[in-house]
Amino acid sequence: MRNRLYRWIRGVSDDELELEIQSHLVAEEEELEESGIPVEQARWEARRAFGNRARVKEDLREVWAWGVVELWTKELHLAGRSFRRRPGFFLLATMALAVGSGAASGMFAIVYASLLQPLPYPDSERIVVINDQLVNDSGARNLASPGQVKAWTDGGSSFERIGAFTDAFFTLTGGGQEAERIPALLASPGMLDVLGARTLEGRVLFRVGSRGRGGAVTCFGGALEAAVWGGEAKRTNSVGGW
Amino acid sequence: MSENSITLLQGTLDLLILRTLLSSPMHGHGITKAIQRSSAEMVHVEHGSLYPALHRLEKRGWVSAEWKDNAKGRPMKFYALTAGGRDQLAVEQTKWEQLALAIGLVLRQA
Repeated sequence: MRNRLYRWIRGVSDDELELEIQSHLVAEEEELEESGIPVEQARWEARRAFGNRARVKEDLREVWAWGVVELWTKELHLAGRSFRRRPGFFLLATMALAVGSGAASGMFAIVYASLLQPLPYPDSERIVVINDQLVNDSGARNLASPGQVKAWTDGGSSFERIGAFTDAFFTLTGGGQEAERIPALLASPGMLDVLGARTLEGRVLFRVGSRGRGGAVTCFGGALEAAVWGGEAKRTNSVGGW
Repeated sequence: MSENSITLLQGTLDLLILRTLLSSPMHGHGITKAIQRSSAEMVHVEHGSLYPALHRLEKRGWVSAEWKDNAKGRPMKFYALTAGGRDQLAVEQTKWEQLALAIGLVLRQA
C-alpha cells in the first residue's frame, strides 16, 4: 500500500522504465541465442521485436502521468521555457488568466454571499420573504399594510410565524458626537421569533402594546454598538427621526 | 509472428495478463511467452502494448511489482496478482464468457 501511494505521488522514473525495457531485451536475446541464433542477430531480432522503445516509454510515462511531482515539474518546466521564448505573450497570458480567475472568484463570492451562503439563523432554509406586488407592468413592490400582515398571520397555516419589516433610516445623536444617519429596519414584534434570534442584552421586542412611538423598542446590532459605544451600551444616546 | 496469429481484441490483454499471473509472479518477458504458449502460438502480445498494460494494472492495484533476480541472477521486474486483481480477473472472465456466448449465438443463428 505504501509502495502504491509512493508511486502515485512520484510517478515512475525514466531510469526504472529503461531498466525494465533493457531487462526484457536481454531476456529475449538470451532466449534467441539459446535457440541457436548468433549473438549479433539475436540482439537485432530482440530490438526489432520490441519495436519503438521511445514510444513504449512515452506510453508508460502517460500511464503514470498523474504522478503529482512529475506533473508539476513538467508544467513548471514548460512554463519556464515558454517565458524564455516569448516573454510578452507569456505575461499577457498570465495576466489574462489572473483577470479571468479573479473575475470568476469575485462572481462566486457575490453568488455565494447572496444566494448560496445560508443566513446566520437556525433553520434558515425555512425562512422566506413574502412581497405584495403591484399588479401592473412595473413589478414594483407594494408596502404591505398592517391589516394585510394580520390577515396573512391569522388567515393561513402555511407559515409557522410571520413578521413584518421595512427599510428605514434613523438619526443617531448624543454622546457629544455629530448626529449620524444610520440604516435600519422597522420590524413587527414577531420578527425576532421568525429569525430565531435572541438579544444578547436587554428585553426582546414587545409582543403587545408595541404599536405607535410610545411602544417602540430599539434593537442594536453588535457592530453598531461596538462602533458607537465601544462595546458598552450607554443610555446617553438617542435614536429617532422617523 | 506466424500466419495463424490473431489480433487481440481491445481490452482482452488485461484479462490475459491477469489470468497468466494467476499461477505465479512473472516478469514482462515471461508473461508474453506464457501467453504465446497457452494460446498454441496464436496470440503474440506486442511489447508496445504489454508494458503500458502491466503498468496500468499496477496503478489500479490489480498487480503488484517487485524487482527480483531471475534464474540467471539478472534483476527483473516481477509482477504478481493482488487480491483485487483476483476479483477483477473473475469479473473480466465472466464478462468475456458472456460476450463469447452472445457472439456465438449470433453467428450460429439459423
